[in-house]
Amino acid sequence: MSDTDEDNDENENQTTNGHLTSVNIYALWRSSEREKFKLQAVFDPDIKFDFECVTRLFDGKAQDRYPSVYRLKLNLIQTNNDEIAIKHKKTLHPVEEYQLRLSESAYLVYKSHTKEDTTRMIRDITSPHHFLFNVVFPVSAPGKLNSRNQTI
Amino acid sequence: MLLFFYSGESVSFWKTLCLFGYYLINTEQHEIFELFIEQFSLFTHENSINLTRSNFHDFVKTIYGYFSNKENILNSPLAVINLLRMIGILPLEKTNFIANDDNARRLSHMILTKISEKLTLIFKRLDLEQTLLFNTGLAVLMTIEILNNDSKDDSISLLNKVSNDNNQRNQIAYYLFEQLMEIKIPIVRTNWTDLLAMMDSKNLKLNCLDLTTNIYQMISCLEHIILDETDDKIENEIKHIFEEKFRNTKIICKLIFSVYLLMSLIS
Repeated sequence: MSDTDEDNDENENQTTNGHLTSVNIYALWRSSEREKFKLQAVFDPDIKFDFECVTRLFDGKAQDRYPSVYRLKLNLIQTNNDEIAIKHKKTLHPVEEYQLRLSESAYLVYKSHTKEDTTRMIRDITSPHHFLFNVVFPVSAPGKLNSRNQTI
Repeated sequence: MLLFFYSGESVSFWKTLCLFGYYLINTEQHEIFELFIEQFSLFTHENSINLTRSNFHDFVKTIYGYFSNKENILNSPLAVINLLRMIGILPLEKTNFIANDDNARRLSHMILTKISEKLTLIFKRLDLEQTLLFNTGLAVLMTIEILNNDSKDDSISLLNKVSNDNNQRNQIAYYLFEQLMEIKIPIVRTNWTDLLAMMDSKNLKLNCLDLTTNIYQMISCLEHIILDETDDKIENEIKHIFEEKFRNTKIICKLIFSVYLLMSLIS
């Protein structure tokens, strides 16, 4: 059950609208298997994608949380006007900026979203791999979920 | 244990260098590693990110933790090269370099051992565009090793075994010397002055005497520096350095110094 876009499929390399290309975005985040949250890239209130947790990095010491590699594979279209776009519900949406978001389902009742303060750009699609080095979310005090932006 | 947050926590900036690097080396994604190291390097420069002493401490601790847990990765020459390049990126200077950090010493021992085991293979595998960061990283580890008086390794002998094709050995020697001069801790190791023989003497100045800890090292240094004999001040300058260094052993120092000058006059 995912509330994110499922339209991000791979097709043939060339469409009538432009050239298809894919970009992998990597982020590091410390987490444990028991934590049920999603790391997302939000391009538009309607256009958002989940990162997948590729691996947790073990150094032989038991910990609650391990640094984990998250990856998002984005299928993009470089339009004939040289814009970068994402196909969403059969139509093309130009994309440039996005924000990272943590989405947690707490107590099965409501969802809490925490957005990063910074806005990120898809800058250079000639490189198929992009690494994020400064993933920081504004964090509220332990237990104080109320201070976050919630949607019930 | 109860976790208050259900959404994890962030990874500090310099640790991302350790962790992404470890992930890509461990999974042998070497082409992606090239893009990663380029992007990381660009990011640090564009954002002028500095490295504190505690960042350095955390960095070597994390790197040593991960790679010592999976030491067999380092049997691959390319893995060793890329690990050294990660260390070579660190903007190290006197203020943030902790030469006697325990994990830094362990890391240095682990990697230098791998290098001496696979010396020829590693240098054969090294590409031209990898050389700068590789040399810098190696100089950092050798600096840590040379300043460790309990070390079982010998960086100078190791360096002597490096082939000097393409000036490789001399370049590493130069980076190592520059690193030692930057942190300026006097060196107890007797054979460190052999390093000077591997360098272009035009890069050597009298201030390298600052690194010496005994009279034999000083004489050995002076033998490698080209002194301008027409400059009258030089003699006084050397005499001053000798006296500063060996204030407590003045008489014997003066004696040896006189012998040295006498010998250089004869030769």
